[in-house]
Amino acid sequence: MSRKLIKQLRGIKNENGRLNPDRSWVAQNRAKLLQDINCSVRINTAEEESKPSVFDSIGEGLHIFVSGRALAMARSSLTIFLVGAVTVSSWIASVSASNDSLPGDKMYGVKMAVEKTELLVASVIGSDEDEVTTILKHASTRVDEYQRSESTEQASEAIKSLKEKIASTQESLNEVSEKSPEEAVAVAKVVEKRTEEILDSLSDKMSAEKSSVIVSESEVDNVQLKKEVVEAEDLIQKTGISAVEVLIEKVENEEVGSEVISKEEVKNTINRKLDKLAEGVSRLDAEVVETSGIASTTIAIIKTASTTKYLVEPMKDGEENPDPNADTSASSTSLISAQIGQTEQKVVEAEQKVVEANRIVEETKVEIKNLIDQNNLTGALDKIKELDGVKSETSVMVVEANKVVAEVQKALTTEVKPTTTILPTPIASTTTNVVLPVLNTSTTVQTTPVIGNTTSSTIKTN
Amino acid sequence: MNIRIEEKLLVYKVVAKKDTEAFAQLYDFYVGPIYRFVFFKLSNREDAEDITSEVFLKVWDYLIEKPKEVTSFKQLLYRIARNRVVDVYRARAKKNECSIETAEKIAIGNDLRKDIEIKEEQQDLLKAIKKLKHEYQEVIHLRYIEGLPTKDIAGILEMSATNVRVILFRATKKLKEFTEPDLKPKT
Repeated sequence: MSRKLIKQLRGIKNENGRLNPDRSWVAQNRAKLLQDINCSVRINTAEEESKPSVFDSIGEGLHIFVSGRALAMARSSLTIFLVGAVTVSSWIASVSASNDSLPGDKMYGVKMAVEKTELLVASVIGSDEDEVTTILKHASTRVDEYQRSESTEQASEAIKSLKEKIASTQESLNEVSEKSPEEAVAVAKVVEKRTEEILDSLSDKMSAEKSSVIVSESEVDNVQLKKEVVEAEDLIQKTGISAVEVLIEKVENEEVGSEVISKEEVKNTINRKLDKLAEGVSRLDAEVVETSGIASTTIAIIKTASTTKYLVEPMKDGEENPDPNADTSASSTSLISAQIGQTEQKVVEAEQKVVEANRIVEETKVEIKNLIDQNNLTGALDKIKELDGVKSETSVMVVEANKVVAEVQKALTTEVKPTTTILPTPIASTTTNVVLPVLNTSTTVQTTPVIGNTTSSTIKTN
Repeated sequence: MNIRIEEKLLVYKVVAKKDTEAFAQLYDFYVGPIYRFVFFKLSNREDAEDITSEVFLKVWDYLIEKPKEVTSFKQLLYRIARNRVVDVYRARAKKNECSIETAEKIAIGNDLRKDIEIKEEQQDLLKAIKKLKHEYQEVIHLRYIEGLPTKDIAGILEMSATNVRVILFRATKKLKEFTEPDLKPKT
């Protein structure tokens, strides 16, 4: 259509008076209209007593401002959203409920599924650093589960899973070392820091309050668990050292700038590792002293008991009378004697190893300091690795000593039916109960170590 | 956009609070267009005034009684006006014992000559519009004289926007033939 025509059409209403209403009529009609509607409003108001609620007003207003189609779409969208929200909230509730679950619990499967999902997301969407951080976060959760475990089975399961996580971390560290130096350093920093934190958490359990307990059949299981924990610690420590190795490699080869990581930072990290190892050896020292004490007490009681009458409970009806001259008593005595001998040997070996480890720690500290001053970070790390090896060996020997002591105690309790007196004889940090046979009233025992030359100790009997 | 929002606010006041003053403002804004729309069809001032009054009363009742059915105040006004005009045609047809279309033509033809005082140029234009089909006249009026968008016209005529565009195209083409007969049609 031509513009002229359109202009003409648009001008019709402005130029043609007859097409527009008369102004006086408009005014009159307005007044009349208002009068009519006011009347109807008064009539309606008289009939209605209740005012519309806020929601009614909003509802009435909504359709005026929003089109019907939009409202329908909004309604269906809201329905879908609410269904989704209920689903998600119930999922969140079940996930939250599973957070505190332990191995073997019903919700533990949900917890594992959530962790797998987290790891998958981190590996797909996140960086290598994110992935490793997630793995180590799960490792920390394993330590928490171990600390809260209510049975050796649960604790063992948690430690086993912890070892898997640490192994996975080591693999990731190996892979990323071949990628860009910056990524490798970022991952190594996370690994070094988090493994240290995990080790601290783990050792908190090991230094838990000691209490008097009854020797149970699972005492050997507890020592076995201790062995697994020591292995896990060793693995964590080695992974942390690997991370430091990556840092040293990148710094010495100048593959990264000082803004990423400086030599000073690496030196501080090495010193921190050294301090932690020295601390670990000190703990072993304290542990072996304790073990030695327990062993001495137990052995002293055994030796003393062999010259003392046992108090035997009255036999019940139907029980056969034991033959005091039977071969069984003689064989059991020789068995215990053999165990005593083995125990003494193991404890002595452990004590000697700890002494050796302490000496090595002191020597290594000096050597590492010199190497660091010479900027020989690789050499310093090699020394750290050596010291870690010594600590691992010492830990194993201490655990072995604990094990044999526990076995002797167990053997002792199964041979005799005593009226029991509970004496404070903890083994390491596992909360186990020890029952020792009551001696005759003329006999008392002081719980001082008798084996080994680390401290002067005697057992006195009256 | 501001006018639309202001209009929606006024309608909300009428619906929620039965605000007569708000309705009066809406009346002030739409009395002219509705009157023109009705007068264009009926070509009689008295009839146009009566119908216009009725339209606004009906709209008030509609807003109060069925507020949720009101999506566009403008479209509602025009629809009611259009339906009311059809009622007049029916009444006239029944009175004159002829068809509604005939009644339309009679009303328009007579009043146009007598009542409308317009410039000669525009008189020719109006005559040309009156030669068009009824639905063509409506869309031409609503689109070019009142300046309504296609969407509103579709709501008033209760058809799709696509349909309106097609009718509008055909209407303008036809009107062009009537107003510019010298121009040869494109082949």
